[in-house]
Amino acid sequence: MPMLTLTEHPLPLWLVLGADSPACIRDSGLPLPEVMRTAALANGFLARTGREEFLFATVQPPEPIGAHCWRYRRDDHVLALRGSGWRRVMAQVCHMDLTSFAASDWLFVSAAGISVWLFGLEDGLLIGCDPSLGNYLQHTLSEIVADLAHTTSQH
Amino acid sequence: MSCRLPIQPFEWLDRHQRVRFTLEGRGFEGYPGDCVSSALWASGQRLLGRSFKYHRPRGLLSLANHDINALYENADDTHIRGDVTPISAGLQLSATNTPGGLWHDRMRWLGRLSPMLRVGFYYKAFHSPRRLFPFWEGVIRRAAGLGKVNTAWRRQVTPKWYTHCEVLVIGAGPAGMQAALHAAEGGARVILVDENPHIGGSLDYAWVHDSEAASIRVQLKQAIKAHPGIQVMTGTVAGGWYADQWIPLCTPDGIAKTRAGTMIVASGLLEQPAVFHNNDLPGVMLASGAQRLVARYAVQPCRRALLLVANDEGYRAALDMVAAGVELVAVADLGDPDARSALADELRSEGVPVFARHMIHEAEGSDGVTGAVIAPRIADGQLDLSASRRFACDGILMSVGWAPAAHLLYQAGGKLGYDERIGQIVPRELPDGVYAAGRVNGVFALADQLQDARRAAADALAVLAGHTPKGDPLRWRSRDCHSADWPIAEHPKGKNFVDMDEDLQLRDLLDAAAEGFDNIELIKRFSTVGMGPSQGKHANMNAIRVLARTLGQTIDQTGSTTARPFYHPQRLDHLAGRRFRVHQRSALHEQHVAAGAMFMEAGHWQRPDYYGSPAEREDQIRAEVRAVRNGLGIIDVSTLGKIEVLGPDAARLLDAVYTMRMTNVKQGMTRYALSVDETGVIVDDGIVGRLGADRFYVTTTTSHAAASYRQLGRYTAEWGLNVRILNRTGQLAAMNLAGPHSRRLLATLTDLDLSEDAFPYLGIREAEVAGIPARLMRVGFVGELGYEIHVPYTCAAELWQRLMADGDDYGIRPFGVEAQRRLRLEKGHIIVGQDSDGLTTPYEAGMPWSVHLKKPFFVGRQTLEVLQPRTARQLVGFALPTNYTGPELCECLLVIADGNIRGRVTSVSYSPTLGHLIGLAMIDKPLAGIDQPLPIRTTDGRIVEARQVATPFYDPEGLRQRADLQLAEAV
Repeated sequence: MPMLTLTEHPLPLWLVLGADSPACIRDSGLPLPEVMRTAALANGFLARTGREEFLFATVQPPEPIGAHCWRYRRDDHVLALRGSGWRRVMAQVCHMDLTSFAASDWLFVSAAGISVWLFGLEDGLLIGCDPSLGNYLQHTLSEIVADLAHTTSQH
Repeated sequence: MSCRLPIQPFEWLDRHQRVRFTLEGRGFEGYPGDCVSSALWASGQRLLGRSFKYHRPRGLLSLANHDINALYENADDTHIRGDVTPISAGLQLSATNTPGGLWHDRMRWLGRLSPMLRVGFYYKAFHSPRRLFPFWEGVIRRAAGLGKVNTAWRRQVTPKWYTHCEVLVIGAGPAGMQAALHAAEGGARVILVDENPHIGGSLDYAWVHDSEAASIRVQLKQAIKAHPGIQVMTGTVAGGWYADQWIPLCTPDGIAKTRAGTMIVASGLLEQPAVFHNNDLPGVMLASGAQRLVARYAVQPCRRALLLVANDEGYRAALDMVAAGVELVAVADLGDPDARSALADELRSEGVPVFARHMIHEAEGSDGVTGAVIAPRIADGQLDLSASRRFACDGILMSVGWAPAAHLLYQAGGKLGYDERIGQIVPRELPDGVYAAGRVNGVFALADQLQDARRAAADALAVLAGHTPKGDPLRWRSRDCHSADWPIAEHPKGKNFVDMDEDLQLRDLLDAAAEGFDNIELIKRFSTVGMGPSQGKHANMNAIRVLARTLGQTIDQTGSTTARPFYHPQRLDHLAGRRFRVHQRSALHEQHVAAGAMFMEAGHWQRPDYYGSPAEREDQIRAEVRAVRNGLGIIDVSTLGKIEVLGPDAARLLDAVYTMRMTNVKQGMTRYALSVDETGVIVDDGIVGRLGADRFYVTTTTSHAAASYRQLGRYTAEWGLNVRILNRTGQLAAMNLAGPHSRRLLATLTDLDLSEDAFPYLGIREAEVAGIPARLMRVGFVGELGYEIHVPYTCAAELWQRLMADGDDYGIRPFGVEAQRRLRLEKGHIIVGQDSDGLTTPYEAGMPWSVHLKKPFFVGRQTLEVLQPRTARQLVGFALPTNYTGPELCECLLVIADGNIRGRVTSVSYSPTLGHLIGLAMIDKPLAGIDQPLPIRTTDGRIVEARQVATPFYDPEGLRQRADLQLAEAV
């Protein structure tokens, strides 16, 4: 089994919201994903987190256009969980069935008692949370990863 | 004397190895796969444990996880159940609740007192005199209890995990296996669980010699093993059923919290004992228990046995015993053997005498069975003792009836009822997505069980596909009786146990019913029937029968007790799981650690209480207060709620949520924001700042940040407003730079005009500070010139370090929560939740200025309008003299006047600035008045007379917060 790893994965994140936000994205020539879906950007992604709310992972987010479009920087604590055992890690913290969660999939869920977002990778996922909860989430997931690695080595 | 049999076809043993273990110092041996009880029994050890109350000798009963008298403990664990716990090399056990040991239990004489220890004895005997109850309580506690907890426990983390399936099948007997296979073949993701270490269930102990079963067994097991859609979990108990089909699967490694689309309960039946004199002696066991002992562990239950039967299953067990070399001295059939299947004839052809309509009158023996006396049954369950017969035997096997293992069905909301025809409680109505199959559904014939299982699986598949299930759950139900309606014999000497967990005899239940406990739930609590570790698995059915007959009512009318989770007891570390304990850290946490902060918890947040060593706590706090008053202090206020309110209706929303008018807040200004609920009670406070025509920035208290966000969202939705709300509490860090030098330091780091005119008190600005984009607010919580600076989380540490470095010339010092509390107290500012309670209105808190009743609407307005003239309490300030040396004052002390409680202290602290104690108290209004005494009762009962004083205690004109005055002072 490839090694299960948990690493910090800083991302430039931006939240764009408001009634004019879909138009802002369209006018910027960016793809407009469905709600709870993502679209690929160059070196990043764009997730539609609500009807009129978008999370950008990119160094160049669009400028807000229109009276009702606002953009805020996000400093989420982002971790990359990789390796074939990532679902076993998530099964200890998240009640969602992630059996079919695949690359580029997107979810807002509760994990280990806090709100997180998940973005699917080829070999795992990115998990992001409020920065003030980053230490807690990283500590919790690290403990699980270590426990599973220990269990695997025992077997 | 070994009772081990030759290799049995489906035994669980690994005969290639041997395992040695000890019980109270005596060595025993078994094979891997043996449980403690089977290994002991195989070694000829019949005494396995002692009963809870009378310390009577007990042996095997079920081998199905309810032989709770064979209960052991070792250095690490208690409640080790002998009938299911595998032996392991080096295991060192002792019997639970046996002072002096299993063989020499000093309490075994207690049984002789049983005539005096009747039901309810404890309640009645120690009721009076009351002063002696603590003594008796100690005696009872020492005598009772099942095991000792090792209090020197070590932390043991056993994670829980989530799992999912479309069909969860409980029980891997014939019905369960067939249901799982049928569901998986229909395309469903299936989890099949069984509490035993191997699948097979009754197929592998009750149908061992049946030719029809042989082919079914092979076909089902092979198909299940090969099917990729079936996950088999053995050694796993479905502990309970929770809403939305959450089922904790209790595995040996921990609890798997399972979400099942549908659930098929094929959990089978629990065999019920007969009740007769000495029915608890070692050697008296359930017939199915004897079958398990033979089939799973290859152990002969006894040499000579008498069987008490009331169904075909008993005759099948009798034939199994014959095959295991047990001499059957007689079979007593509670009914008519001629009405049984061909199995009865087969047994007769073996030469075993069968007695129709006979019941056991008593078992003989002291430490184990030596004989049995049977007698014909006459009217109303009585026995004709004149025609009794005695048989010498060392075993009595009972097959007189069943109770469904239906706890999941009950918990899921199923309706169950008594089926007179088969003598069993069966499902009558089950909720959508929950199905019963096999014997728990009253289906006994093997072929019928398989058909019933296919029906249940087809129904589950239909529901998953969004269709209406069409199966008939009654289609395959048995038409024969499998349980005796009264397997109970009275005896003048008693000792005819209904509940072996609690040593409850038939007489106890009859007495309880006679005393008026005429409801099954009441009789349970009075007598404790069903309250032992097996939770009534072998006791409840007979208790119901006893109560029903006593009251002259049916089983359905009598009802049954509530089946609560968990089905079997679970280890506490399994229940606790990994123990997630959320903590939040501000972006400045590492800065605080480096500065020697002592942290406190504020909700999930970890906040600096003060900086320095605990031994110097008070000195450090006073120094922090002085730094703010005289020089420069800085505090991390990142925990404050920070919410963006955006959109055309933002001002309207805030106007309606807060008591003060918000629509007229000017751009670039803030206003105190107090919110009350519909009853006018203060719930939160903070600041509303206007950044644009339709752009507001709201701060809340730390504890109410999430609630305020939810509240704003709810009102926006309810009132249909065009507003966006964004909670940025964790995304932004915030620090309050406070003190006479704050402006001077800040001026060196920003281009913003900080003059009083350009950036007045209560102003809000967006600018760069040390090159970092920031929001600045001039607020005055601590009562000095101050700037609250809000910056992105990842920039906060850099800014903090810069302020600390550049502020060194001004003597900058970080201050913690306790210093802030004292600073705000000196200013007379309240803390919501400390100086207010669940009834406090703004009028009581002395803040009528914060309520704008001229507004047509805000939440709580109508109530406050009514309450304003009726204000009965008032928050007042008080002080003690500088030379006060009396008892310590603390929050929540009562204000006592004329012997009556007239209020309480809400805040009290030593004021480093004023040099004496100051505080706030919420008191009855007539008591309030400047210079009036405030009698406070301390914890030692003394009354301290404080003096009421006006607030703010410090800088009442607010001059300290003006930038221009400070500028002039500096000049």
